[in-house]
Amino acid sequence: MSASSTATARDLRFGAVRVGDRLPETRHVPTRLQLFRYSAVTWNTHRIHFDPDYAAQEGYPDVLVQSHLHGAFLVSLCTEWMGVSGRLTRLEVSVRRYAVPGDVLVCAGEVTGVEQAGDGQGLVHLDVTETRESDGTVCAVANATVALPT
Amino acid sequence: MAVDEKLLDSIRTSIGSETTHSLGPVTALMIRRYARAIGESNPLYYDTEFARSRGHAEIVAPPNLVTAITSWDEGPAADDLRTDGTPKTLQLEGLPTSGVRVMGGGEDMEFHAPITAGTAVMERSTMIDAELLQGRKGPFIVVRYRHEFVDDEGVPLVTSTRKVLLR
Repeated sequence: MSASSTATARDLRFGAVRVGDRLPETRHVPTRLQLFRYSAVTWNTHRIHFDPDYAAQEGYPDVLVQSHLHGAFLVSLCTEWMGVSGRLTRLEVSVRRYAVPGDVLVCAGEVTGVEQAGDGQGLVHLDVTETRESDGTVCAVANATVALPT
Repeated sequence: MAVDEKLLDSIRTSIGSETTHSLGPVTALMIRRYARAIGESNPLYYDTEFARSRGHAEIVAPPNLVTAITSWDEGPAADDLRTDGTPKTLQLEGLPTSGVRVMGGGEDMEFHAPITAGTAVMERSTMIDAELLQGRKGPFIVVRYRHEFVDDEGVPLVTSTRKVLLR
């Protein structure tokens, strides 16, 4: 499962962020138990996420991580980094390759742009990725925007 | 059913038609369970006092919770599920239900305001467009939908533009 939250310990300000800054990486190792709970709480009945025999019929080595769980890992990367004063305002995510339980998924990100937004806020644009550690396969990519106090 | 101009034309008849569903409240238990399932420990998602100290009325839903929920009601009976476990009646209007593989193709989510426990959510869904493209493995259709999640006073919470691929 994922690392514990440090979000409450951070109070990131817009002025402290520079283009090129890298977000601290996070690691997730999804398990069948995690996928079961995610399917249950989202009431997702697709067998590809909980039935290994069905997944094998479809040509996969195991049940597949849900696309929204990939997205949730990238959301957490951003929210951990921005801390309690930040707000995630946008995430445009694309899942490119499947992942299965036991894969080590490394989430990383970089600041690609900053802009003043008025009202005491600035917007920070991020490129974020989720990569399978064992072979470097990029499973998901996203662009994110975070609002931070100035 | 072939992925071709005829199928595209049948899908395109649904462009622009809007459907509205009342999804009911996002409950505190739903938020805490979702946060647990994604491995989060952020107290905003669990601790009412902490959430209030940050200016929220109640605990807050992780940003992509409402877009991740497949069904907001009890869902169909087992006999009304397809062999892959998905409902025979697809929630997306205007898509064929057999002979075509339906896959997610990415999602662009705008988070307008935090969703706190107890918020009643309405969803307005619209098919924006559909196009037929040629891929390396043959033709495929990309259908784009916009889903607007608003509270019971119409205040925007989340807007999601979702691509669905048909192969």
